[in-house]
Amino acid sequence: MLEMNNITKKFPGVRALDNVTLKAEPGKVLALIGVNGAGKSTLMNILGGILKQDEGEILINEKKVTMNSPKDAEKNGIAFIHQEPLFFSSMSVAQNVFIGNLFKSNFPFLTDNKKAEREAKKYLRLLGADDIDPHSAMEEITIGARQMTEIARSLAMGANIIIFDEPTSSLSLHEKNKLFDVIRKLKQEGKIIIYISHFLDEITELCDDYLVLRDGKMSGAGVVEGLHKEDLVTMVIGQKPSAAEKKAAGNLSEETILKVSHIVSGNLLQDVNFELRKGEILGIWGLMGSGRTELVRAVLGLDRIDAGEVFFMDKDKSLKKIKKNTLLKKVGYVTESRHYDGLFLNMDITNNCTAAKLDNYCTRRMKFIRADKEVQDTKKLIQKLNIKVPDEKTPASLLSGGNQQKVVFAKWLNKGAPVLILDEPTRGVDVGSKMEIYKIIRKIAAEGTSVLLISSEVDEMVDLSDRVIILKRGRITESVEGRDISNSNLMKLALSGGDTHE
Amino acid sequence: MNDTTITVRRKFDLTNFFLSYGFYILFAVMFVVCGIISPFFLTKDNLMQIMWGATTLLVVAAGGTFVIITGNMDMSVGSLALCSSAIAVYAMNHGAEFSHMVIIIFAVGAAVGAVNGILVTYCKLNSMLATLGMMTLLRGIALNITNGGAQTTLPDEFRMAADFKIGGIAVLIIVSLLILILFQCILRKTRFGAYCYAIGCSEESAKRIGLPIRKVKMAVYILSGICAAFVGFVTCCKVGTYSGTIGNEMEFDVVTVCVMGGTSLLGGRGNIFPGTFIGVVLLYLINNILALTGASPYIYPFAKGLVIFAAMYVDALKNYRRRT
Repeated sequence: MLEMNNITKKFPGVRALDNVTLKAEPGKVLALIGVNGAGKSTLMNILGGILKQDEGEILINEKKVTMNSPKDAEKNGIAFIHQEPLFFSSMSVAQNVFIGNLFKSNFPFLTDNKKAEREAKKYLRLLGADDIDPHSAMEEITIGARQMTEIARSLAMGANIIIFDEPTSSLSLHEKNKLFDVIRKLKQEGKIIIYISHFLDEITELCDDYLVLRDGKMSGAGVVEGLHKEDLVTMVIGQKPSAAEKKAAGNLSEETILKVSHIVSGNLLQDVNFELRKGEILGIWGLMGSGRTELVRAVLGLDRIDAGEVFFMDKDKSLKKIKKNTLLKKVGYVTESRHYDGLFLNMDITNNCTAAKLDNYCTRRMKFIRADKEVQDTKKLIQKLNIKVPDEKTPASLLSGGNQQKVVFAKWLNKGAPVLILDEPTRGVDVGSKMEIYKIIRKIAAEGTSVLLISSEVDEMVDLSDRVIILKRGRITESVEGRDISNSNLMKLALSGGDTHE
Repeated sequence: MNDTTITVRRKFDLTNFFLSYGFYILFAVMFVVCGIISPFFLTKDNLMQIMWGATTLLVVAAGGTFVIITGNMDMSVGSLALCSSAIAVYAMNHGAEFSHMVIIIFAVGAAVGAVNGILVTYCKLNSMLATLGMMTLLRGIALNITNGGAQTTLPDEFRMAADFKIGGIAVLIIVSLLILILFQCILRKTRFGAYCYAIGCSEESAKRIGLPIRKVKMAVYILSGICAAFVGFVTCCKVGTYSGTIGNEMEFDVVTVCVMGGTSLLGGRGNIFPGTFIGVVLLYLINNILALTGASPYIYPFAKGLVIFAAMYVDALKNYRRRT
């Protein structure tokens, strides 16, 4: 029996967890549900010894335990199976299973690899994964098999409490069913299992109990049997007021500016098609691991496209097929992590604003940069976007998150890109700036710029998008417009029926 | 997405085959071609000559393979060889015996290796830059204590060690080969070796599983340091005098031969025998055949440069194919 009683964890400014109690029994699967930022990871990091709770206690079999490090968690028999399996690619399956406790051979100093392979086979057979050869290298086996190896490792390390963190997000249907069989088997052996997932179908299929977190608080807990899916959705997202006014469905421009047809890329994206019309804000909605960011990267040519084409409206208003990598030159791309690839942090605001269109500020022959013109335009942009800065020579690193993001927008506005791609445009931005950024996005769309919006915040999707396409496991499953874009509808579409395409 | 789309990687692929075994094939071809070009090539004397030349690089590259497999670099090996023998010469001038000199050489190697390890693990310096700094620093020490690298005659025992033979084969060659085989055993058969591969594959995973990353890295650098000191010792033996050219450019040779032998610069894969061994011998083979055919000695660095490019290109190709 694992109990986490009245756990509270504060981060500067927020209560990440507020009086949360989790009880998991041997031989049962507990589902831990919540949207991103609801506090699931914080709770699990406390259990894993990565974070320390401010209040509350952890009991294992009615004995109080303290977790000061991941090592402590391991000693208490707690193991994590991550979304992306932890593994060592060039080493054998057997070595991966026993890397934490390799067998000694009779010869001093040497390890017994043969024994490791025999023992690994035993564990794999226990999991019903006989087809995995303990001798083969990890890089040669499938993702599902790698996950099995990770589970075998946790068993070999003596785990009694196993936490699965969204384990199905990169698995095929067949592999998923196999994983569920394994989890049921572990359950029969009396292991305590915590299963974290976004997919409600998986939860009703697999889990016995559930615990829902929302904004760091418990918003529901109980037995899965007899629970209605609608109730669960309400617990996950809460009762939200209905969405603001939309552009009427028929009001969209008919002109297509960007057309993506039959894109296949990597292991995830399968036959993705969509069109972006002029002046439209098109949302791409899907859960973590659905392939949102991958789709954008593939369309832009940042990742390899295995099949499919991208068309872009030319100056003469006709759609032309474009070569890979060239789209990036035509559009603006507001990336997910502005510190990493969105801003030149050490440079001042002026240089950041003009960076995407530096040719405009050069003398004709010698390409000297005309600083006066730069400053002039930057001042205009600062005023237009209401960027709060002492002056236009302030380094970007000194600005607040919201103002930094506005500078990123200013850069692309200055370039005059006909299409803006926004990947999580308000991440790490305070509420006030968020609203202003929304205003900016609507304004540029009204002026005729097309916007492709990716966001994991459902409110943002609902507030901004004229049209939303739903992406699920690398495929577009639905497209909704107008009134159909609502909190509950989007969640329902993304959560339900994870495998309809098989 | 059915399973056939995911389990495609085991099919035979000609390009992959050449990328993996290309240097072994090249080695075999070179051997045959050299034999045809020069009748002298396949004589015992000449082959011994190649091995005799290769002894130093063999050992230091074996140590270097450990470092590269953990995903790090040791650029200080050449200077360390020079510096450890310089300190031994300094001790000799102050009355040290042969045996003391040998101990000093290896002690300096181990100590500098430990400092490298501390810089990389505890001070979190980039391994390439930290050891590059160490390279320059050690050369500076060597110049200082030997008055600008002046040649010094060493005790006779050094030459005697070089001339010592068992069954007609120089004992230094035998020792080098034994070290090579021992190191390959450590790499493949011990827990320490497994940890080296694991850290090179994914340091993040290794950290989360709780492997002793710092200890392993320290050990790897100390090992590399001792191997570098061995070079200093062997070079002193071969020549019988100390000179400022000991270990010149050795660090680059180490990286080259490791990569030629299939060790990835990103860490996590590679081996000492046959990989690094073939790499070393191939490098000396090129010099040897150039010498036998009477090519100008000034062409040697040029040929070596070409080989380095080829090795690095193959490594880059392999890494690219693995990622996509």
